[in-house]
Amino acid sequence: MHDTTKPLVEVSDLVVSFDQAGGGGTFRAVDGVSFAIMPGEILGIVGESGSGKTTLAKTILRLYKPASGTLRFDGDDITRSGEGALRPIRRHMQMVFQDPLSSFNPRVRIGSALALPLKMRRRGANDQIEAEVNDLLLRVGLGRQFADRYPHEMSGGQLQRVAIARALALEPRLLVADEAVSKLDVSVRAQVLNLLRDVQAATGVALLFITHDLRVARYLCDRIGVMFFGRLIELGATENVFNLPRHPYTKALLATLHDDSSELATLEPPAPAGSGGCRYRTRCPIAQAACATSRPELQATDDGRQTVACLYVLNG
Amino acid sequence: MTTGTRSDTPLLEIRNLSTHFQMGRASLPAVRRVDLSIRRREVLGIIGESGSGKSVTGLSILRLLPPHATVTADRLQFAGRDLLSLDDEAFRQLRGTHLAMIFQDPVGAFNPAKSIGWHLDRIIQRASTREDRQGINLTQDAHRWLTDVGIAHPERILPLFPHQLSGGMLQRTLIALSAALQPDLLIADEPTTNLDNIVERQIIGLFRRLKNKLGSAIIFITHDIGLAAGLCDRIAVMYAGEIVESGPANALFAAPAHPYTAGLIETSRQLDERVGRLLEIPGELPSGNHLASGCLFAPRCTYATDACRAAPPASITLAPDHIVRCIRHA
Repeated sequence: MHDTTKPLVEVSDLVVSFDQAGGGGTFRAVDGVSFAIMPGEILGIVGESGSGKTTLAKTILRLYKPASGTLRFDGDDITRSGEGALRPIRRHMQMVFQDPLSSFNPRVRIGSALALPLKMRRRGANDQIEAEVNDLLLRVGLGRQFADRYPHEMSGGQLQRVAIARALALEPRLLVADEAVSKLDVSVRAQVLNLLRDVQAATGVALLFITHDLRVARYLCDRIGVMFFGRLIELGATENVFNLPRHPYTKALLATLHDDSSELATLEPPAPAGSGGCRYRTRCPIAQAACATSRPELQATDDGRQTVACLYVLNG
Repeated sequence: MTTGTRSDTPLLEIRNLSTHFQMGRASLPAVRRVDLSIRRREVLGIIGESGSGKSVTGLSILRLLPPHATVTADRLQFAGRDLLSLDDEAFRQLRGTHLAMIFQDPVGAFNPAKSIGWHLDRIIQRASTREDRQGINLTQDAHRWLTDVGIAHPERILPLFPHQLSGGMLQRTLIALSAALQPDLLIADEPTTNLDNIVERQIIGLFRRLKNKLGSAIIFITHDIGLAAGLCDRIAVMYAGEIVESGPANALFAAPAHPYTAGLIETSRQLDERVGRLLEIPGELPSGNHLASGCLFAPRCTYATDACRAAPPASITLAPDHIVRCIRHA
């Protein structure tokens, strides 16, 4: 068995940057982020669109190359590994995307799509693979009759189950779900959330769950990280973050869960500040002079319940 | 009809509205047997999942559907006028003055090559054709609406082009421009779905204020039952093209009568209470060409009996204004 006390994924001061359109230098989508994913936990990353959640997830899967910092998977430094070195590791990390229809080849039947990863695994006769495909379909609550269907013959909810089945085919240790229930209808969402919980409990896979839906994150995740413009600004157990958010941005974000927060004064939010100091300072009700010059890093709060990146929360 | 302007009579009254799309030789029903009424100063929420027909209902009212759609109704009355008998030109006069619609994606509502100011001028031109808007300084009025939606210095955004504003800013600008028209009926179709949580809440607050200041009726179309709960006076729940339950928001949330409504509310509550396992509504929304002959929800309903599968359920009035299509209440 794998060691469950050591982090499965370890990210340290990770920076991911993109060239800006029009040749205007680079833009840091992820700007110095550090955290760990433990084996078998469900870690949620929440934040608004453009906060860098998806870039962070794709970088952990090494679909992007970090500009700096380090990224470890199961202890191995894969920050700069080439495709050859990544290949044996990739089967341990799988991903489920927001739009299931676009993540399947429209001309490949569901059964063949599920068999592909099993065939690449090198062993297994054809009839054994067929049995495994049927087993995968059953595990996600679909019958074997779905193996003969094409993606367009299935609903969004069914297809998202197949996407989860395919991700599980090689028994990964990390499953990244990027807005995996966001496009599903409300009545189908519960089915897929239950499935993710069941799968996690049955296989012990670690789940990195990216979402902008705070209620879904609170429901599913063991721990929550909050991102704001490329920075991880708060991280802690779900209960702690939701019951007592400490960062001013987390407070503003979570206030949207309660209906009484329609404060029009903040309607025209100024652009986030540059990366010199705290990026939230231009919107922050408690910002002070030092926030413009000193960039806060994640540190444990006085009560030790979570970590937060805010000078004034930490210094009182 | 002299009672058309009294506040207790409906501004919009719909009886037995159906919309079909012609697909090759088949005629697919998207909306069936819809009855709705909306009074002034009232927000009616239409809740439904994708494919439930909620957007098509809005588009049917405003005659914004493509030519292969057919809309029929026994009655489609707006402010005392029969919308069904209006010719296209007369309807166009009504749309964009008395009737307005806001969509999920504000970008599509703007001409990308024209400034915000250009759009504002067009709106003012349009509004000035209305007799009841004569003698009002419409430019000043529009600026006030922009300030109202939190754009402190409207003159600064007027020279800008749509792509220079964020999605939230653009949606707020669109809402302000729509408000400047002072429409009698505003239909908002998922106006916050593409926006971040914080902006979404602000826009809901804005709609609340609009309702009070404008005196218009608002139809708020959404898939988010929680969002509707905070804003709407009355709720209509759509499933597979039909309204399965409608009533005052308080009554509907306190005692949902249709098993589908109850399921949606229960899942939403469970999500918030972090129960171990969420209630599942088994199965999925039926698609247009595979509709059951009886109750459309019966294949997913835990209470379904043979009687449910035999014939479509009739509308049952539980209380004045609270109507459900479910034989359990017969």
